[in-house]
Amino acid sequence: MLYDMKKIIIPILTVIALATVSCEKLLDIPQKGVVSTIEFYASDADAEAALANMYAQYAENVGGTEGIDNPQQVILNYASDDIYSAGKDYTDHDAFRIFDEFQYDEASATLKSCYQRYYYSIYHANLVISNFTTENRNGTEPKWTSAVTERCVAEARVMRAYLTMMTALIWNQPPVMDRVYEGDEMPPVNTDKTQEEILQWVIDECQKAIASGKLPKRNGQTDKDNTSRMNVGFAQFIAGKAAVFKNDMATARKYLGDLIASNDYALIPGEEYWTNFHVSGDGNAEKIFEPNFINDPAITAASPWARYGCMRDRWMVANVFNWRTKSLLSVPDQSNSDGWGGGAIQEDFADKFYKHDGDSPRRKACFITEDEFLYEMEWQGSTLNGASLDEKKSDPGRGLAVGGLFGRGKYFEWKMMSYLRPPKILTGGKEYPGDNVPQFGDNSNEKNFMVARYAEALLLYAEACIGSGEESKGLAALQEVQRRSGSGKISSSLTFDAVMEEKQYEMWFESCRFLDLVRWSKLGKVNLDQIYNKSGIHKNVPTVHDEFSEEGQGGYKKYHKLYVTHSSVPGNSDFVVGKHEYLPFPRDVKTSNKNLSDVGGWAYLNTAAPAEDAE
Amino acid sequence: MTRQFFAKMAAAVMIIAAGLLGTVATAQNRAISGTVVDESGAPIVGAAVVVVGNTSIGAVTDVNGVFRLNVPAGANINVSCIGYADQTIAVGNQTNFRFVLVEDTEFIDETVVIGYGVQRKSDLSGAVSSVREESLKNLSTVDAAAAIQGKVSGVHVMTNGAPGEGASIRVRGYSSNSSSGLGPLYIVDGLQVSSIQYIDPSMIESIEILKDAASAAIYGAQAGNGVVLVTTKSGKEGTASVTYTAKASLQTFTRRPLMNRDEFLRYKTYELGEANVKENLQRFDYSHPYYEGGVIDQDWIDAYFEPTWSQQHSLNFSGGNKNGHFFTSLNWVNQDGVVRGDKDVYKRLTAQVNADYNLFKWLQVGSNNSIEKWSTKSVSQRGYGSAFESVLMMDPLTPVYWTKPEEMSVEVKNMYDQVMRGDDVPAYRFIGDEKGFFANTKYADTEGSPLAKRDQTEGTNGGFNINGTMFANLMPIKGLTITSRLGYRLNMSSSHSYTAPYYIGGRGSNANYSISASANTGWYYQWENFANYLFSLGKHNFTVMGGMSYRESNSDNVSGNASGADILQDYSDNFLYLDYLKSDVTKGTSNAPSKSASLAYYGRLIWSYDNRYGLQTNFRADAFDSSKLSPENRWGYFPSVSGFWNVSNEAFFKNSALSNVFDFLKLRASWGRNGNIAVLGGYRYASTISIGNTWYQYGVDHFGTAYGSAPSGLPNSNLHWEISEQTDLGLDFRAFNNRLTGQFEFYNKVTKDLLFSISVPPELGVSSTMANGGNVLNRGWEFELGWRDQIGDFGYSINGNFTLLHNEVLSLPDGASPEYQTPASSTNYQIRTAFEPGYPIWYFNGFIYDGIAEKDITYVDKEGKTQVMVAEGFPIIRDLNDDHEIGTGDMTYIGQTTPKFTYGININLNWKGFDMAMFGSGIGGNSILPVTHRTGYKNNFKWYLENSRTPENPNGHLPNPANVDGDYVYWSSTANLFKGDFFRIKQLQFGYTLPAKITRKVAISNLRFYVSLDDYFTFTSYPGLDPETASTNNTNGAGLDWGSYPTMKKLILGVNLTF
Repeated sequence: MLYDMKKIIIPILTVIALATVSCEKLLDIPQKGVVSTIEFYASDADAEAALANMYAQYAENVGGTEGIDNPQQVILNYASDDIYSAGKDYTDHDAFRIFDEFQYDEASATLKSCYQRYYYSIYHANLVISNFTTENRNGTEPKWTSAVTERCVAEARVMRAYLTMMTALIWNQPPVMDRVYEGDEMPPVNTDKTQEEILQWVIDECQKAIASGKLPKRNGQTDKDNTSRMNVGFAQFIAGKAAVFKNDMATARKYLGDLIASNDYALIPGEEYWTNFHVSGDGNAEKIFEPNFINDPAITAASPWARYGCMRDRWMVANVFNWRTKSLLSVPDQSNSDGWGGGAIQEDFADKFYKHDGDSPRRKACFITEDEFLYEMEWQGSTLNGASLDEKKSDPGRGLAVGGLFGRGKYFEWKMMSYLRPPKILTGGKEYPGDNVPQFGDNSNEKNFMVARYAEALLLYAEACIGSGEESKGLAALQEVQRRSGSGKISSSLTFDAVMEEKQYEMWFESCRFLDLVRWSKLGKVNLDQIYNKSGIHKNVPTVHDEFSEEGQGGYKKYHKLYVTHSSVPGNSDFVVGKHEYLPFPRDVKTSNKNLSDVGGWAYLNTAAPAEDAE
Repeated sequence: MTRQFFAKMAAAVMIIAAGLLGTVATAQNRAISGTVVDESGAPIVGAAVVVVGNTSIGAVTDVNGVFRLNVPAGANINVSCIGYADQTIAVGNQTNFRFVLVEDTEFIDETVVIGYGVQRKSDLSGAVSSVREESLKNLSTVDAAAAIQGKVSGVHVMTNGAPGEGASIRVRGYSSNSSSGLGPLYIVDGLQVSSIQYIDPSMIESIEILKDAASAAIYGAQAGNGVVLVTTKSGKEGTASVTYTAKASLQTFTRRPLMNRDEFLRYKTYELGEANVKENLQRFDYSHPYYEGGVIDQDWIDAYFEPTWSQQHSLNFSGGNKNGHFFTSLNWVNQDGVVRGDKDVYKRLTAQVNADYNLFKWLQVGSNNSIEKWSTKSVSQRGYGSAFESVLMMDPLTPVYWTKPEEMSVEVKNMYDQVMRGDDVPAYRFIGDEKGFFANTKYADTEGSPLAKRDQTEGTNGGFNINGTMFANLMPIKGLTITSRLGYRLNMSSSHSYTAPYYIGGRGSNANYSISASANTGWYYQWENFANYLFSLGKHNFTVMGGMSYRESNSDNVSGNASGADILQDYSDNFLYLDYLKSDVTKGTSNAPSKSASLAYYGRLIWSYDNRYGLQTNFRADAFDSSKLSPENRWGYFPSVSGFWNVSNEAFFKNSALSNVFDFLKLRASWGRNGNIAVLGGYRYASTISIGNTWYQYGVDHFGTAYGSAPSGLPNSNLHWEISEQTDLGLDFRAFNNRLTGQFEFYNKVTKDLLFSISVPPELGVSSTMANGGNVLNRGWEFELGWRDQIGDFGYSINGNFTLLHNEVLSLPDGASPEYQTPASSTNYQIRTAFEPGYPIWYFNGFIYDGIAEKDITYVDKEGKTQVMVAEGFPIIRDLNDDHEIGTGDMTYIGQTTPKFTYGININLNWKGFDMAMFGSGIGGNSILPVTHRTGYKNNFKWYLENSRTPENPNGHLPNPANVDGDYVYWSSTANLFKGDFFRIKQLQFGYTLPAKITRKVAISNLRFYVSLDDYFTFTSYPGLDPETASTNNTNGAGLDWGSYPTMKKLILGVNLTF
């Protein structure tokens, strides 16, 4: 009996056990190392973390590189008329040259990367704004507000305004992301706002940030730390620059005038002009904003790979802007040994610059001449660095190797180069730090990424003053720049040509020129067809050679003497007026963002979509 | 027609049999004769009739089932035939006999293991392949996964030659874009495991592979890539035995595909010019004492490989009675790979204990346990800078040894002098052995000698695992079995690595000491409760099964590391542990325990009628933990249905002529849906904030870092598993008195909802999010045919299988673009693998080589100028987009990385005590692209010299080496693409079993010696080391040969001894 019971009872117990084990709670396993989005953005510390993230993302995206290039730097500088994509030969640095010669199309990877990087950075600014204000999808109240969150929001606002201005200057009518958009939303239709309206929005946003009274302010010209973040001066600069581009000169004068009047910024002395572009100039009196790069051992000691994060991957940019060392007979002292020679000063412009500036410290900071290159540089492979000029003239340890340097005339730019050791031509023998971090190798690059310095503010202000009641103040601003440059030229009256010319020299290779040319062309001040097409700059590409290395030349194996040959560019390198002023939207972005359509001369792309894309 | 064929076969068999038996057919004193028929009265052809105790006297029935035989007086005769039960009778005075053989129910009613139960093979309605104990015996592999290679259709097993490297299994194709989504689910005695490498094939009773969706559906969300069920042995009722087997393998590698000195110099002369070669020889070549005549001519395969011995011992105890069964086994493996020295070693000690006992008639309890201890050491392969890459690339002009520092290259000598002088340089070692320093090439900038690479780091990896189950079967009423089973896996492993500074060359040097260790602990358990109820209503048979399962997996891994110029208190051997790090050294550590869990309910209903029709339906509901799926989406439902029609049991069939040929004929069809959860994990659906993952420095000239936090991505709360739906049609038959068995199968498997990264508008802040979408098709035909027979003493069987597979990516989800990978970009090769609709998964996307330009190929450009596109003598790469430039726009499908067909063949012969087994397998239709060309003085396969157009070989189909050196477009083209087809005789084994009457005297019931040649013969046109291992199982890097550990040839001497 008991036996029989057992065989019934045990199965019943089994069934009960079976039923009780079915507890779904066992499947809830919390994730480690993360915080739920619902719990975040709820304290001052969270706001600071969101803000630090905004700067980090900006430095990584807009200020950082992808592969060997920084997309913004490539697009805005190479598209100008005074920089040429050089390198080993015509096929080298193809990704830069397409912007040089307007041969890019909507599929360009650099173009896509540039666009994405701006919008990623805007998104991270929006995370601060949308989570600590009601400027979000539903007008939801933030979980936490305080004086700290208000400051963070003000900083994010300026960052977003600056980035939005850049997108408008590059793409004409890009979408304005004025809050965090959720995964199930599409960005706003880009054609709903004109460039003018976008720029006005930028000015308003800057004004809002300034008016909040919470935005950090530079604490005098020696305060370096406030140049690494959004500050009142930068808000004024962006509002002013946006107004200039909107041709609203009165507003521009207001903001730029306030900036100048603050006295928080000043031009540094001419002999130190070159330091603006090197580590020793980080955060100097002239800097309004630049993302900060610093080798903090707290991060980099953990892993040598941290350099890629810490330096935001900018190490190969040092190779690109270094002279092409393989084409030299030895390595000049300031260079790392791995140069690719990717960016050359345009030959005619260099001639003009040299004639204008002569041996000014500004010119020397930008490029050097044949004699300086050959005989004033110290060459690592030479035993004759201290020897006489005559000995150096036949020194096999200096000069160009056979084949020469493609894309260059007899001028050797180095403004944006990373110096392993700052050259004596510039330092005059004074000690300055190198631009690399020794532990990360010769081609690392700790220089800050250039965004805004006082000289540009002065020149924008000068331009805004032309024909206004503030002409004398404008002239003073122009003269301040001229005086510092050491060129010897001081304008006696405020003319457009004077401002335009000065700006090309002063701001060369600082992402200004192309945007200015487009703006000026709209005002009828310049003719882009003349500048890009009729001048023939893309049809007459120089290669500089050294007679010393070229068999059959008079100086072969006897003495150094540079000479230049020219070749033409294959393919169509014409600038199409009405089209190439702005960039097309990247093809891949249009695939995912159905609200995005090309404008201006690119609008034809909207209808030329390949049939297979249709649903 | 079939009759005629049958008669011819039988006649042939008779002739063989007569030959074999003729010699012993004399000196008998009694003639008998008779007929052998089956139950229906039909004659049985080829039945063996032998005298019991003297198998040399025997005969075979003819086409009419008749036999004649002379037998000694008082003999017993035994009649046997495949597929029928044996009969033995005493001859007595009778002279004419009629034997009616009854179909062997054990043969016919062979059962196969299915999920949560067993089923008669004849009732199966799905596609299940079974590999039995007999096919797994005496194999040289010690990995259960490798043991099924070539044995069944529809299953592709990929092996690697390195000791301890487990094989990978793919069932019915390749279904996912994710490499974690390709392998099957492994179940051993009901326990889910992640690999079956730990099981020695000799411990296995059977391996079942559930190939179609209906069979696998009972495992639901994890069964999308098939299920491999392993059943380990249990004791046999009524017998007790002790078996000892041992084998010793001599492993060698004899392929020599590289260029020797003379060939290499010729190749380099073509490539770089005579002056260059002359200059280099002048600078670097010298008379070396270790080479004949002083001329260095080093084959680096010789330098790196040597013959080695491996051993394997196993001792099994087994027994049983009607109350219980017991099986235990100890297995010891010591494999030393063919790389010189002991840096490639696999050691494993496994103990298996399986026992069950019937406590009551209604209660059976039992437990199966496997305890494994293992350790491995390995050398680097399949990658940039690996030791195997350097074997292939070292030039034959470099000796293995520098016998004295004066022979070193300038840079090594410089550094050596500095270290010897005690200069302020790192404490470099200059690696070598008693014969000298390992030399590095002076001709090129390689990272170093493969031997130095082998020795640059000391590392060990090992641990132990306990895998097992405990179960109770309750049988309260007839037909009902309730099973409660607890399965568990406990594993612990640790690894250590230590590197001291070394200097092999400028590129192959390390200035730092580094040390690391890790300890990994894992525990897993599953609790499953299910009930099977069998009952009949008339001719209707039913099996109902229902159950639940809870599984939980935990791991807790701790690791630490440090690296720097001076990190340890002392560098003697007994200090090389993290404990002895200097206190101020920065240490890296990591630890975060993890856990995952799942819950499932499942059920099955099987109905069959009169052994003629059957239907089966499965259903499983699966839920996974929150690391994989959001709570709202965690449940998934997986139905399937299948049915069979046993045509041979229909009256019309039995009455037709077909029944004379076919003993059994069954049609099957099934449909089912499975999931693949392996692609999910890591809370991908969740909206979370990554804390402190970014940083920014506000201080321009002072330190201080602010850490940033941001959302970890754009979450997609709708993520779910991949879903595969498969339809299967099958035909099983046995014919010619069960001698011929066959199975044909067709399947169509579509895997949907792959996990893809899809583009989102970048304005939203991210470039992509994960989403389900896209389809992959695997469609295949599988054929298995077997013939077995016994002719007197001579038994033989031949089994073959063939699988044809069509694999194609059908579509991608909205917003996703084809995925292109450049897995060999570190070598400058342009070749890509691509996941793109219309093509097989991860196919080769490369350039098409159209031969050598016989004259300049020109075109007229836009400005009307004539431009040279390809100069004479250079390779013509097809300009697909007609833009007169060769770029990614000209890349296209050039071959697939997965095979289009696989096949295997097994032949077994036995005669008296002798046995012979031949087993081979092969694949075809896939391509391999070696990525071993480098510029400068690097070696490569001789094939390139032999096929280049040069003065010595004016008909070569490849351009002169000078015209392609460093042309990585060319090297990524069809010019450098090879067929991956190969057929390998995996085993050729000869054995002899001593006659029982001799061995019995020393209480041995069975003693067999054998010699086996494993992996000895390979048929392939591939010029590299080994086509089988060349292709990695790394999904998107498949087909690229970087230099991989080849399959070793093995000469095996073995003994099997049973008491």
